[in-house]
Amino acid sequence: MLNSVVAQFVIALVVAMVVLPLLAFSLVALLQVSGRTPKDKTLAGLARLTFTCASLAGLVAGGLYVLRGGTPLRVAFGHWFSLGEPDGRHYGFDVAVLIDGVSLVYLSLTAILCGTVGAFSLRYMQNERGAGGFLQLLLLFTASMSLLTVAESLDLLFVGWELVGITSALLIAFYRDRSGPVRHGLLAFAIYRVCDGALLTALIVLHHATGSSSLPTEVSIAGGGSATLFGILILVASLGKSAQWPFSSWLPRAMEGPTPSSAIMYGALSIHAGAYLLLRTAPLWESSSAVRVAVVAIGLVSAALGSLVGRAQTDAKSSLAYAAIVQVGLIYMEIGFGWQRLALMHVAGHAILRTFEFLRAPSLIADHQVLESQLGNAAPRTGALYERMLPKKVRESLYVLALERGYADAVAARFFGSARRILLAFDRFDERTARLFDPADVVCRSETPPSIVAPAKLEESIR
Amino acid sequence: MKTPSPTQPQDPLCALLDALEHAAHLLPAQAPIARFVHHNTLHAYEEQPFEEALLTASRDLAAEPYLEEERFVEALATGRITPGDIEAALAEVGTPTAPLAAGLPSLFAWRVVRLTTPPPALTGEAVSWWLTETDALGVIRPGLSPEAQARVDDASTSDGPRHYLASLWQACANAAREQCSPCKLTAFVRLRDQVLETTGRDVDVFVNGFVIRFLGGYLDQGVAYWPMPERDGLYATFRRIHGQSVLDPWLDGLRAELTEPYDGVGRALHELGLLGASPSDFGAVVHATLQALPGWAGMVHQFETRPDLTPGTAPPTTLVDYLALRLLLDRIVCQNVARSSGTQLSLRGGTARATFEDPHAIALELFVQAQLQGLTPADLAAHGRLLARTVAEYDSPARRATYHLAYERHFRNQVLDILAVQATARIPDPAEPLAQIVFCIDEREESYRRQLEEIEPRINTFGYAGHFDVMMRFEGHGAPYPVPLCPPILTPKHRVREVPEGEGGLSRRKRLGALNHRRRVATRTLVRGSLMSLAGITSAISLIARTLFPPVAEHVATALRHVLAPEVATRFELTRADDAPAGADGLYDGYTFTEQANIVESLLRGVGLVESFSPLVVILGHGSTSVNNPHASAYNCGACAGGKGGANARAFALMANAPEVRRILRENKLDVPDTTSFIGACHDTATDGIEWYDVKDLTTSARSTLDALLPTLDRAGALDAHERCRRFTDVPLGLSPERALTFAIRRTVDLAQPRPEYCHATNAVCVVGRRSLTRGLYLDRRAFLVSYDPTIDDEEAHVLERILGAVGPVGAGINLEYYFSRVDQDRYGSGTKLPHNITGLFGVMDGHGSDLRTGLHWQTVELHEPMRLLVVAEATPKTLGAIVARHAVIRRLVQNRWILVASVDPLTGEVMFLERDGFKRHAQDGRTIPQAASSREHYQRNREHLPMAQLARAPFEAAC
Repeated sequence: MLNSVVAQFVIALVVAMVVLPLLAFSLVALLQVSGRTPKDKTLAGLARLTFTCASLAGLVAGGLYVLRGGTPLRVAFGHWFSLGEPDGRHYGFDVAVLIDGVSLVYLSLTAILCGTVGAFSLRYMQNERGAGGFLQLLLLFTASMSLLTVAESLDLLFVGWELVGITSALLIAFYRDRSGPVRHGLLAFAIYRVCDGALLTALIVLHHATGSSSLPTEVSIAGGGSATLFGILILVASLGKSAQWPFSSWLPRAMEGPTPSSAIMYGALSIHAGAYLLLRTAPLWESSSAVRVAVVAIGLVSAALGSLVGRAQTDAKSSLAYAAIVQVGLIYMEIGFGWQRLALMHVAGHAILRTFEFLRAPSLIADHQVLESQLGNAAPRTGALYERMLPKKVRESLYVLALERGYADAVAARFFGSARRILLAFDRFDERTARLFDPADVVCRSETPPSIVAPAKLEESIR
Repeated sequence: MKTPSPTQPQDPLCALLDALEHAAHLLPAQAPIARFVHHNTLHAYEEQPFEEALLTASRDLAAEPYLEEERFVEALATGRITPGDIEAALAEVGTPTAPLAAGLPSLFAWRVVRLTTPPPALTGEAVSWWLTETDALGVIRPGLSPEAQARVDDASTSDGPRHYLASLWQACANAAREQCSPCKLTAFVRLRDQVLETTGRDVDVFVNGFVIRFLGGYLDQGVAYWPMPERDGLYATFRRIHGQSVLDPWLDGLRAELTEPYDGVGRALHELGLLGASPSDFGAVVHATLQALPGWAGMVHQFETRPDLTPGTAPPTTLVDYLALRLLLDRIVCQNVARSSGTQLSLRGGTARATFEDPHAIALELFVQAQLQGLTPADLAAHGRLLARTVAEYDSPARRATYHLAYERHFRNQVLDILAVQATARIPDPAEPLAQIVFCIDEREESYRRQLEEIEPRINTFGYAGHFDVMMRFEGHGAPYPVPLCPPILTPKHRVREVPEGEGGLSRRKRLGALNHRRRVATRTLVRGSLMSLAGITSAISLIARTLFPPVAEHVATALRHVLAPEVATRFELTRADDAPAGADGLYDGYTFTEQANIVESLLRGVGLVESFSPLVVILGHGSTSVNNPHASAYNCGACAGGKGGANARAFALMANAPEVRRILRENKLDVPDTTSFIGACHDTATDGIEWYDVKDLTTSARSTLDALLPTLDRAGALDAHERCRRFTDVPLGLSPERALTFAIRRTVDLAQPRPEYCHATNAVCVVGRRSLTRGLYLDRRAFLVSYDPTIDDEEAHVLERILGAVGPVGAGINLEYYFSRVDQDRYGSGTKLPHNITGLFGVMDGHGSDLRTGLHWQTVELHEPMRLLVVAEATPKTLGAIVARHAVIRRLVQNRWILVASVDPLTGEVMFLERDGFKRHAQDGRTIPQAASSREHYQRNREHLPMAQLARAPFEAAC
């Protein structure tokens, strides 16, 4: 009896974590649409209240769940729509939450990090142009990250996943009056879309194989082939958000927004979302050793390459970005080996450590000064290991590889360059055929000086 | 920018070096960020008059010369500028008052109307929208003078003004169309401009990223775990590093180019030759190429010219190497992009971009002006061309120049009014001062001094440059490298060491440092990083404490530091024997007693402290505390090259207390009584706390004076914090001083606080004179206060000359840096600091891979009113004129009007302002002087800039 009351309370708290920030976000958005944009101070107050309540809810839920003994909870709130015959082939979108150890770890992390980074941002973003929008995006991010972690089905997870992606891209492009942030926001968005394609396909594969898109907590798999296909698709889907090889190049470029957004997205939550997807769906692909090998391999390549590239980075945030890629690579390997508990511990510890490092990124110079004053000397030289181990020629090639970030951009440019040439050829063909049929239709690019056209009203009054 | 004259055939090498030198002057001259020093952003243009320089620089650097026009219009609406100020400003620049033509108003009247009732700020198609969608063609503009109204009424038909307005618009549009030149051609200087025009692709996006990665690696001072191997010259290293494997399609052909045996100079000349540039064109190409990334190019130049200022060891760096690799990359990438888009690229320039002037804005302005001036369509038909030209000539920079003069004038009148009144009714110094305190001249100390004197009028305060004449290279205890604590233009000749008494816990600190280093490196590596991450959950404590409870976290951290690496008592090695030679590096180890006595005497005579010494004389340097702030050094003492001035104060007090020094002073007829002790201290302008040095060496009587003084200083600190807090929008108004102080301190330990204090944001005036001229005045933290007593100066005012020679450039440097950073955040300032990303320990970028951002960030200049420094000196115009004439540096600043000068006659108190054509008497014109009972009453419940005010005199007079 008591147990079920507690369980219901936990569910209520978890739902609050999704709903409260979403409500706050929607309220502000509605006010804005109706032309009554709240003052930054009001919005900050609302955000403060929401972050506090949501964080406390998440933490209390986590605590109660552990006290309860940790049995998974699965609660359906009904379904949104369904298609087809209930008995035969059909598709239904259920709104349900699943709470188990994996989601609880992520939920508690979301609570702690959104709470602290939210409090940080409220002071940091004071009087900044667009601060209101920033807080709104942070609220939406909190809601979507919570939704992502408690979703019972892959469908609902996809909703949270997409919202995380869009808030992330918008926060990268926060300073939209400069071209860099917008370009890099778009890059992240494009990579997310490619990976989201894989997630959607995985969803279809799952539905075909099991007849529903519920996420099991126990190993339950139908057939080796679809497990492998599903697993590989899920792996590809996860690579974008977690910035694993070969999709790492956007992460250092994402450091365009204000420091706290870099911290929460790329130090903490968004970057571990890929790992969550793997952990959540592990029962569905664990039986396929091909997938497990692929997960380990991707993790290994990312960690090794990230570690090499990270060593040559000379700015605070890129250096942290690659350090994060390395650790997430290791987490992938742990997941691939089936060490879920270790992976979860690693995620929790790494997210918190890295967030704090990101928030303190502007202290780099001061830290260096403190260090040198303690040592009473210039800081000792690092990286001498490479110089001892490797011959000069190899060393230099390796260094350029690190400086140029594993040539990810170069390869992409070659690939997209060919693609672009093909598209351009189509364009030219199109233009030529157009000219064939209607020579006047060709757009003339030469500019003409602007002239003052008398508006209709003027003509009227003169008449 | 000067370019060699084309008639002279020139050696290409000389031309290149010339061009580089000129272009280098226009690059940001900011040293690595930990050595931030305020300087005139447009120092390279100081040979030109201010207004002219602004326009030249705005062309050269594509920057804004003045504040945005909307801000000025706002200032007009709030009364910060009055129509009277605008008229005076127009008169100042000699705007003609004769009619433009028969039946037309004068240029003066035309411009007054233009500035006081501005038309809607619309251009292009928006003008058509305005005509169609508003009642612009139905209703006459409001604000017509009666005469104008009468004329417009005459022109209107019986059915209202519609017909009048419509034909007026037609006439205006015709005039505007005729005025606008059909087409303007701009030649391409860089290949990149040509490619951008023909293909729509900006090669700078790629080249900048590539160059930034390389320069970041080459210049890095200790961020990368694995530094770039063998950095032996920028171009040589570039050749080696990028000469082996290039995968990027945009860099096809780079490898072959790099095998050619050019050095940097050779490569640059080769590239310039390929571009078909003749030696006389080098200037333009070099300038434009370096301006693609001015921040990085400027840092390369800093590494070349001032390797001593870099935080670690500077690799050999030259600007010409950078130019060479940039020109090479520009060409290669342009060629590849052009090839891939299938367009032709002509290396030797050729094409040009055509731009068209927009007639809409001119037509609109003409239309509005014509109504306000009561002109008829017939007038427009007759004089359309003339009027359109009048409008076109008075473009936004020209209008803003006038607004700017009015903006400055309004403020200046306020300052000179109150000084004129005070000069004839001074509040004298206290008769028997309890203590005398020498502050830095910094305008942030103005409020502290005033609050202190208000609660204890028997304290006498002075202002002197914060290095206190101890221009030393300081080797602090435990500091890894020595720092110069003197103005950046000087190179110190003396070294002062701080040594611990006893062992000093050095080994313990070293062990702590080694641990710290290991931890810092570890989190970014693979294996150690994973162990740290697994244990990372423990850092949740730090994260939560630091973000939610910053003061508590700081208390714990301080306590921990005390246990792990306790502070140790130290002393200065200050004195050297008369015959001790300089060391190998040309520095003397300390000062002889004669040198010390000279320093002490020059300060005491400079501030006018030569008699009635109190038992305690405090020398108070200053610094500022903040966390998570890469720009921290900009908040410290400007006179100490961005260092804290405490060491200078401490050294000065030691000198002044030495019996030997006192003896020499006495020989020089400066008798400091034995009952007087000096003490050095450092005021923290962010926490308002004071750190005291060598207290244990004080005599017992001096010690008891100090003990009695401390509560008063604490109280003044709280009041100062209270006054500062009114400017922080996140601190509520109406707090008690004690609460305000905790708010102020909290800001200095909060990682999330982008505004630990407002630094020099309110600087505007510099008063050089006796304190009696400013005592009891509320100057709103806007005035540098320099003590100077004209009654003890010699006939030629050499003391004043020395003071102005030091204060002029420093004050102007701070003031102009704020000016430029405020008027153009993108080109002169560094924008908002929130996305700043530290690079190589020497600078910050905006987020990822941007140009290095130099200048001041938005959070320190947001309050700033950009105005030139107004220097008011207590001297006769004749004396001042003579100093300006004989001192080259001052002359340049004053004659070119980079600073404005006013004089207060020491005897009569008459105030004169140096107009363009000589000193003119300042007229008060019936304006009233604000009065207030106390500072607190004047500022409380107010967040804005406040007028300067006279405080109640009684308490001060009681102390005399």
